[in-house]
Amino acid sequence: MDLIQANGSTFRVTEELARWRFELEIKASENWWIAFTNPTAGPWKRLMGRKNDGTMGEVHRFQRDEDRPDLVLVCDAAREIAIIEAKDTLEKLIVKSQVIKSVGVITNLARLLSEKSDNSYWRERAHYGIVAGLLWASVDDTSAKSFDAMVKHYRDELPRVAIFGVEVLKDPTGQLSCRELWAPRTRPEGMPAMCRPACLS
Amino acid sequence: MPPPTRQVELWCDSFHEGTWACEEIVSLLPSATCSVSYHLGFLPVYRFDTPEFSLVIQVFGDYASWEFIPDSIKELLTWGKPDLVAYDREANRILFAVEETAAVPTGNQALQRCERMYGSSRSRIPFWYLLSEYGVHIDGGTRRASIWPTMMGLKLTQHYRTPCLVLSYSSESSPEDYGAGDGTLSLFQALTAILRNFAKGCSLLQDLGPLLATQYQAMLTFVGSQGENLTGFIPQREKLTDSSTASILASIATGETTPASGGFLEWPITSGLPPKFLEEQSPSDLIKPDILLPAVEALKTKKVCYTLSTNAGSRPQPPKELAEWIKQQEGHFKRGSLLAVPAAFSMKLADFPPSIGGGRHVTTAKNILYLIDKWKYLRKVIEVAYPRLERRLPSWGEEEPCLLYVSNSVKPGRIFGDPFTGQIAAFASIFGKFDLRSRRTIAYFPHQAHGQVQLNRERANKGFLIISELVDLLIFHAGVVLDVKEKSWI
Repeated sequence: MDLIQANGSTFRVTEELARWRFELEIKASENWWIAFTNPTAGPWKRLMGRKNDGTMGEVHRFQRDEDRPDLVLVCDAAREIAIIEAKDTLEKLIVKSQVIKSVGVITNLARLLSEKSDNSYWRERAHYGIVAGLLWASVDDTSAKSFDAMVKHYRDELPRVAIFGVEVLKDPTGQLSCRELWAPRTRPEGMPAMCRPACLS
Repeated sequence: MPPPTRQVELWCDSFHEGTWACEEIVSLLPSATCSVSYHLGFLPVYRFDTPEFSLVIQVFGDYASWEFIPDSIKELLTWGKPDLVAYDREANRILFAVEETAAVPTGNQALQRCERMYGSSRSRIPFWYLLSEYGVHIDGGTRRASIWPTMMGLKLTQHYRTPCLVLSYSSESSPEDYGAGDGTLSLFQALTAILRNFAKGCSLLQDLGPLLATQYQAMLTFVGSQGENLTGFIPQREKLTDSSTASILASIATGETTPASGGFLEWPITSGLPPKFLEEQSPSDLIKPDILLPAVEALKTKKVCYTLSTNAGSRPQPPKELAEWIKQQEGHFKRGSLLAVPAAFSMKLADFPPSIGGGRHVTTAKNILYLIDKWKYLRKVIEVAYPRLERRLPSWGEEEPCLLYVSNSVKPGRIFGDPFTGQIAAFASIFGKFDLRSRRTIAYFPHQAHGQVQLNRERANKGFLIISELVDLLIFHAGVVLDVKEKSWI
């Protein structure tokens, strides 16, 4: 079967592609699940929770003009919630206005979710820890130095939140893979990986 | 020997929409063996195998990412970006396009995507628009959708003889729920049927007549039940409940029937209005004074003009922002093209009446749409309001009916963008651009300066494209007119 030949030179990794690739990683994860994703349209503009029997229900509906994160992930085993901002390049994540917006989104949503213990789909998750994620696309491995420099842009504003990165790498054939990055000694103890082991740095 | 495998590319705004569509199609092909794999680690590839056909659907999310996006899709996107477009690369043809929205379908929301209906229809691409019939407004109340997209679908179907359908999901008890109501299932039944026909090498719309008739019936029922909440009059209303109307529309859509002349839902001139409706037409006061619109309102007294409702709401604007916008408009006005007879900028904050809440009203008339019997009536009131235009306006047939659309926005740039483009596309299509007695379309932007429009730069602009095809005249602040067809300033 001859599929249309997408390869390394026939597409660029936009924010949508990068976020989607990481979502596939999460869907394959046994520990993490997606509570919210922010594609451009469709019936997905609600942050969802789930009960023990697996039924999903609305926890929060973002208003039209409300700033939204790009992904919200939950790990019940580790009692952690990851709020993630995505851009197609690392550089865009360190623009000052973006840092201010991202920090605001993460801070506001963390507070909002901590007040949702009455929601039957959220309950105990109101007391989970929060980690902040930054997702970008790249064709070269981002060095630890560059990642640390990026984290510094956020550290002052989020002093008590662990910050991690997700790099979506495009190889010369066009294959996309994900890599999870944490600053030394910042990963919460016992927290399962988001990306599959083969993709871990 | 196994059947040959046919391939479709499903181009989408986001991967979520593409995979959502594929999963719905999987559920409607229970006898097929379905599998999904991810090319390059992320591109969803769905394979369907049945004894009758084999079909592969490859999903491409995010139109902007791909170098090999087909030219026909690029062309379609210039008329507005549908959420899903199915493409057959072998034959270089688009099989269908779909727009869907989770937005609460009130106010401008329902209309602001309507230009996509027009863009697909003009290229004879079957189009479906899926929206929520019931939505929860920010005030907590439940709202029901507008009839205008549905009306537009009915009109475009007749004109282009191509399916153009508006389907609703949700219900009063489950607002905004994609699983409630018939629309979502019905949409995917149609898409699945088209893909099945494609995979089997049949005509795309083969055997779709009964399903399309069901969908058109739902549209007619919706207009019948909701229409008079939004407008005091619907032409040929009896056809909404005529059991044959939906089947006729379906056969027009599939190309089996030619629409009858003097077709369905043609909005008449005043002589064709019900006497009581015409009698009730009377001028309304303006919220914010305007130089042109009182005279247009007065045409209702003369019974040569009518409006369908008088409930345009006013959303007062903060004075500080308004003052800034006026200043920017003045700058744009000064940069505008040289005019044979000069016009003078005259907008100031004091023109906008204060509201109780401390804002300023920008809404002029309580209508944004006037249906006028003859161009000569409108031309005359324009010339009285703006004497510089005397004997300079286009010499169309004096007897041609026309439509006047009013957009009150003061914020710069709000001419060719959302929701104006969708509104104009919808109103021009619904109210007679394609009728036997075609209406001229005139758009009036009393608070927008003409200098924002640079004719040599606007060609690739979605809104300008729509306006180029559907609008005849644009009237800006101070009565500066763009003859859209001639691309000339007056």
